[in-house]
Amino acid sequence: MPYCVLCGVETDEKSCPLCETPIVIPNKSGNEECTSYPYPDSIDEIYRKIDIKYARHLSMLIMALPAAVVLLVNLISSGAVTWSLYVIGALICLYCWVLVPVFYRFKRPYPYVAIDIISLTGYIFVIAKMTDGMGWFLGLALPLTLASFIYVLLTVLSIRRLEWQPLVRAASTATLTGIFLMAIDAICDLYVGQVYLNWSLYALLPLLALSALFLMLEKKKSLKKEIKKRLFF
Amino acid sequence: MVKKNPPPDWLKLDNAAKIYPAAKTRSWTAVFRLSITLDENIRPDLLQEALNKTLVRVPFFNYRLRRGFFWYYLDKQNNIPSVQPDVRNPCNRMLRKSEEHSLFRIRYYEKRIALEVFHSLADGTGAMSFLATLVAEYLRLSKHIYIPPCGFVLDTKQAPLKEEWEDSFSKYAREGARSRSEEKAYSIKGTPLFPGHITLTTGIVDTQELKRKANSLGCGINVFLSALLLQAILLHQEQHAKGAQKKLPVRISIPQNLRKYYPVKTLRNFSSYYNVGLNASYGDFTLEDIIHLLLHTAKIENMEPMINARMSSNVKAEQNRLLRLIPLFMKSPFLKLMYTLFGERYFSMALSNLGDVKLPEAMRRHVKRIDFILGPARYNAMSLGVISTNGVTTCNFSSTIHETDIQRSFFRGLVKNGIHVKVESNRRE
Repeated sequence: MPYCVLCGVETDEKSCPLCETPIVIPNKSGNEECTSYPYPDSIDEIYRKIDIKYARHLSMLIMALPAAVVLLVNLISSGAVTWSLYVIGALICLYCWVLVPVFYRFKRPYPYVAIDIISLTGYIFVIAKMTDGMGWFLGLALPLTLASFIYVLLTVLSIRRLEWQPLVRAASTATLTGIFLMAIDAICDLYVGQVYLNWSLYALLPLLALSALFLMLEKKKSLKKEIKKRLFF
Repeated sequence: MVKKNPPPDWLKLDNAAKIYPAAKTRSWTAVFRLSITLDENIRPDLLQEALNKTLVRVPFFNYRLRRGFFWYYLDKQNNIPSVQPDVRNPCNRMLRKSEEHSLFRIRYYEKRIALEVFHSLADGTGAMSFLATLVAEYLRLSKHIYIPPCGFVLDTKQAPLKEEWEDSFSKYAREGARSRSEEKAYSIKGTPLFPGHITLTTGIVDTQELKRKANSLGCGINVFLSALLLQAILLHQEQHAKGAQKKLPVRISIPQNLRKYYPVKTLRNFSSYYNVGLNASYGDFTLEDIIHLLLHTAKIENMEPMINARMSSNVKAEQNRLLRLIPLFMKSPFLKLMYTLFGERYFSMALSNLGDVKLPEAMRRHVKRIDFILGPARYNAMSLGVISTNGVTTCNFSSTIHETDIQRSFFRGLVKNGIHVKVESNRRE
């Protein structure tokens, strides 16, 4: 009757099932195999998949319920679909921005960016259509969302270039941010009348300086090391 | 055999069964397992024959789960599932296409016959009756002996009884209902096993020895084991819990067999539960303190009005008109969410003791032991199933984590109290 010296329980196994202490039987050689196990070797394999389909259904249901309630209230009170479109549009945007990245798997992040921008553009389009504002939509909102799309896409692209050093990626992000701000300024100016490029230059110059600093730091290893040491937390 | 009570074409799920189909996931269903170890190796052909005969006597075991518009229901099916060899990781997901969506499975390994059941079909007592009848039938075929029907063993020559598949909850529920909300309990955490795998640790002890020790402490086996388990979880909390987890109460869930209180013959679910525990932040509790707490709680919780009020609160929730009118596709995610939020929140671990199973003498001679394994819970890492027969008590821990601290403390506790324990597991080095 072999016992575990630590737990005091009897066991026929080579080590104690409770504490994994080897069970030593002095008269027996270590190679002797246990003749009978309480369970067979075969394993019943099932592979767990996250029940993503259920999660999608549940999240859609959670989104659909308030949308349906708002639609119903709008129809009852006004006899037509009017203000409820604002709420429904916002819910769709929320779904695209928050829940799509959680429940839908794409290999690269670009489709998420595209879905976000398309949903945003669509929502703004609905607002413009309902408020008779196609002028500001085409002249201001659409170019701004397109510029945002290009900016986010290029930023994600540069951040994902893992072969680049982190400071190089930070420099490219700073440069892209500067250019993006300039584009916003230009689009706003164009909508008003003429391109002046006013405030964006004040943002662009420090960002370019910051970018240059990052690149310089990347080149000067000793300086980089020194800063790292001082900024340690 | 005279067919007096032909089984119905379909059955509504009973009150306790309704949550399990909604709570199931692709990788998890609420499953438990009972197994009987005999004195000789099992012959699969005879086991299949015995199963075919047992299903004629207990036909509702061969129903399958289907989706209705408002609720799931059990639907009669003609195909009888095949017996299958046992595996190292039992209690795996049910309702598989490869098993024709059966709600139970019969497995065999060397001298053991095991029944795994989806909880929507039956509770421990119902399943024990099915398994005992199956094993009696198997012994009749393999050893040509007559086993008189009594206790858990049903007469396979008798027609099935209508009362055996009745939903007894709604029959006995009254007006008064108890609130089910409690404080969140300490949750045992560890390194998770690969999905679908389970660590089984079985302690085999002598029932008389266990009873003597429990009686010397002024309690019965169930309270004594519960006290040791609470002590083991308290030690785990002391060693592993951090921050707010340290202040949470340690609580175990103890099922109650309602058949003791009402004259029913149902083989389906008819059990309730109560949670009992203590808070380590109040101070140190000795084993005697814990036994006192358990004894007094059990006395209160085992009073019929208290049991009925808890049962009635579940029935009331189910009979809510609004809930009944919501279609299943909307209700199901909601019920799943409720299970996720509250299903296993109020207890750290479940301890289910099916008690001393009395078998007919002719059958008892061939039975070495019975095991009762509660399948993995969905969120709680561990559970303990206890069952006794023929003077042998088995304590089966099932766990979905690698660590065995709780099992170690529990069995060391038994050893410290002078009880001889033999331990085995499904591990391989």
